[in-house]
Amino acid sequence: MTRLLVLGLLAGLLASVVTFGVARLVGEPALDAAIALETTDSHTHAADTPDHSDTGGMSRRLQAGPGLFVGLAAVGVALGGILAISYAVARGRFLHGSTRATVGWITSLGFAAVIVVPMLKFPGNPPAVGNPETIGARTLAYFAFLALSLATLGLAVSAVKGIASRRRKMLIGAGIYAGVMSGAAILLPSFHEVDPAFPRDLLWQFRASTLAVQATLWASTGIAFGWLVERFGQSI
Amino acid sequence: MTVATRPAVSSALPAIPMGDIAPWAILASLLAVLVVYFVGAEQGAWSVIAGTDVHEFVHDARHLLGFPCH
Repeated sequence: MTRLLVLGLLAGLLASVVTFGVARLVGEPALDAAIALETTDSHTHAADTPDHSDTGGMSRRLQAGPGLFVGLAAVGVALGGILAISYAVARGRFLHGSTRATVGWITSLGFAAVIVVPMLKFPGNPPAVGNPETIGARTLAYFAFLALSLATLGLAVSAVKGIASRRRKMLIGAGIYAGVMSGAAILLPSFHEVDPAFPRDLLWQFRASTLAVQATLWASTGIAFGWLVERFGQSI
Repeated sequence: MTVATRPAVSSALPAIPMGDIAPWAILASLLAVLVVYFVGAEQGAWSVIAGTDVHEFVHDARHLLGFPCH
């Protein structure tokens, strides 16, 4: 178990290096464009949006370099650790395939439940977008939705554990998850705070880049972990 | 094809005892919550540490991971 965990943490760290590259290439241009808009264009810079020209004494280079890397690595290593533990729990209990297939299922389901579904309801905002007065409500609603998504995934997986037919298993599991999460998405408040003057292609570019960054982090953590376990963890 | 027609799968991966996993699972979950909190939300909606240094340092990571930031 200790070895699995070490491999997981290592996979997360490797993945965050790859993700750092993608974030620099795909994400930073959108981030910089939004910050430039915020500081120059008084039209989109509503008085109530946070001002990024004040970065608390930190340069953009520090934020986009070491800051970005440390943030990604912390999340990547945590993800790798959780993946290792999920793998240990699922293998031989919920999933009976090869190491790679098991890791593939966990990573895909986790990515859908932790990233894609919460993102559909609460997409991330670029600088210059978002009302500071609702940050408390938004953060709370987001984490509540995320927690519910994970709990519902666990519930759906446990509920279909005993079903023999693979097809029925997937249909019923997906049905439970989609039903609960659709209901929650309708009941929880939505926040429509994008200033109409904010360029919509930049908003799209920013949000697509957050999905790309998360997809890279999850996919590369999963691939690295699967490879590491097959290579160094067969005795576990 | 049914599983029974296959030879006993020698490569079938054994389940790891829950007792071995549980302590790690608890520790890792708690640490992961802390990490996600500090990277994703500290000094946004809530503050444990005064000032904005944590927020500003992980600023780009928080935005690009798609957290509701500010």
